[in-house]
Amino acid sequence: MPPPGGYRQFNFHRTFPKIVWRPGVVVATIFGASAYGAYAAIQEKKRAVTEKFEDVDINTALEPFLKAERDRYWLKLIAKNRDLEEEVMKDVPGWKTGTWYGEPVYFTLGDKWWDPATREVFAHSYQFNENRDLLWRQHSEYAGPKFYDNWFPKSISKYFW
Amino acid sequence: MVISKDVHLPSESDLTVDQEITLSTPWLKAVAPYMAKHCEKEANEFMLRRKELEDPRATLKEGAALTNCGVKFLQSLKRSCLAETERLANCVDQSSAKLYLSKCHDDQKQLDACVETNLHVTRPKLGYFSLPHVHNSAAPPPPLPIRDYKAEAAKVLAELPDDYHLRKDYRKYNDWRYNFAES
Repeated sequence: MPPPGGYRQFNFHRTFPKIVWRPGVVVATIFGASAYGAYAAIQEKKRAVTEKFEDVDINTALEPFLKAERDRYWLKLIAKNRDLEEEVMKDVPGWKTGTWYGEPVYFTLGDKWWDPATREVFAHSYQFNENRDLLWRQHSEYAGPKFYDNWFPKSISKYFW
Repeated sequence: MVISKDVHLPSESDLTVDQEITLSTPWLKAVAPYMAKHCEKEANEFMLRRKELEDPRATLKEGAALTNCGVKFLQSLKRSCLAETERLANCVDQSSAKLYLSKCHDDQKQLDACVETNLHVTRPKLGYFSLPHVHNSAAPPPPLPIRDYKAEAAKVLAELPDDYHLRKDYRKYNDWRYNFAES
């Protein structure tokens, strides 16, 4: 016999589970994550730029001091080079220092100063000195003695950085 | 080398100062803003004259004055704030590979306070040295070299002998090409 009041109604429709990732939630999550990612990336960029700029500002403050020292060193080096050329070429007849047998290499008007080119400054030096000067920005951070110093003869290891 | 004997180079004594600044990079980065602020007048004078004259020989005196000012400041800093400076320099040396100051702001604030009380130099705000600064130098700027090419050419032409073989062909630049592909 059926219970009093009858059986409860039977659900004969198709049923769907209640899902967490409804379309609205998915869209909101994607937009939220993108917005937070953009915000975080912008903040990180600002932080990195500020960190670098702090360093750049200090370098700018230092520049006059380094420039003054560099000028003195540079002029000393050039004077030394000129004396060396005088010494090396003293037995060559007709040679005049700073010229090609008396003919000036460059045509300079007035008393204008031109820095000589790197190749000329390093003319009386070994090639690796010039390379080291040109590639100075790529030198390794640590310039002290290395653990592998004794593994190679000096003639080879001076080329390792 | 292209520097001949006619080019005047200053003597060894002009190129030598009593004391160069021999600090290493972390120490320089630690003290640079105070030093530059303290020697701002000398630095501006040196950089302005250096830029104007474009000649390292002409600004040796200003450069030596700047270095002396920096050395004097560093000596007074050593007397008053050596411990703080050393802490900041060690921090700069060891906290990052690129010797940035960003991890050392605590030590930097201590040094700021020490320098301000003892040497009366306030650390400028970030970006101060990257701003353009107006500096009025006592030395007048060098005259702008303006050449009168027409007068020079007229002078050269006047010096030529009467039977000089002046070129009569006035061809266009492109007419001097050897082949079509060139230039």
